[in-house]
Amino acid sequence: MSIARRLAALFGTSDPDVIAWLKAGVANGGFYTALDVAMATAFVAADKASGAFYLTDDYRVHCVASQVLAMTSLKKRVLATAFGSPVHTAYRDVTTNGLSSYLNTNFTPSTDAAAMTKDSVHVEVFERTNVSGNGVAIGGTSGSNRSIAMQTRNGGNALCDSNSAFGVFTLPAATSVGLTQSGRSGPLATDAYAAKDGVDMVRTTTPSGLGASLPAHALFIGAFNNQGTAANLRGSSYLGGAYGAALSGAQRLARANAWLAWARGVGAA
Amino acid sequence: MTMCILLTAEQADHVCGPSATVPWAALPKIERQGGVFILGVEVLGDPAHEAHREYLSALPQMDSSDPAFPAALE
Repeated sequence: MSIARRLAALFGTSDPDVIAWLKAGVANGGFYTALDVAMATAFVAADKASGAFYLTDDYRVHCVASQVLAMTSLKKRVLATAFGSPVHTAYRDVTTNGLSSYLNTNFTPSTDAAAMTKDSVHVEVFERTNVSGNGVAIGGTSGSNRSIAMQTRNGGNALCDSNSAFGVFTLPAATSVGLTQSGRSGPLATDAYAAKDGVDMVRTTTPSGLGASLPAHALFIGAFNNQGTAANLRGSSYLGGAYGAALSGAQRLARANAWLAWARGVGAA
Repeated sequence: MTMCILLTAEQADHVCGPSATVPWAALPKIERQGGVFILGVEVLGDPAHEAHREYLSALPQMDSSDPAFPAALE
């Protein structure tokens, strides 16, 4: 029997990255199901096919059966820290209350990034609830435009920092539900981009300044890590997210389709 | 609306920090105006923070939609 077949018989997949994630989740005290394995295998295969996997530092996948597996990142296998008891719902999401609960991804761009650079940045979150306001879905800053963050819906716009001051992008519809992506693909403020469900949004305000280096503060989900203090807390339900280097338009769309397939596959969309 | 536990700075110092039993859980220090700190009541049902349940259960609670609820810091 080939190694691939043996692995498939053992884990339900032969993808080494998926297997490593499953094993890490179990080592951390969690578990996985056949549905988790099938969805993760398809997602990673799609991301490897587009090349986005190799440009991404890490993924957070909350739409799995086990809370501990949801806290274990898919690629670097880093445990998040759940502050104030955000609620994990199996095969759905992690819900923050907008007042006192959030996740620390424990991903500090300045020290943990392998793909992300100061001028090549991408972050994304898939939300399951429609929330408007100045709460931050994912983000952290060290000041002086060294900021990576997304207000996925502030009225009719998304406000996005891509190691920069904020840029404003027009949402195609007044909702935060779905995948919101933002980033910067080069050294110019006009290289900032954002997309909703894989389709690029129109930038109406270009960032007024750029960060000289990546933030030295970890990215939070459901809040903004303002130089070590949780601010702009956002009550919403997060199915998952990712961060790394800038993705092309085709990769953004492929990623959006992959998230949607996972969400639909588990009944979360 | 979210029910929150209201804490003084000293009470927050007493409970906030990493969970004693779950390595990926912690209680944050979230300050509001007036020197009040808050935690959502969800923490009372979280096994990660069982060590503080009795202590936190004895503290006052307030609905976040109450007009008297302490505002966020500027």
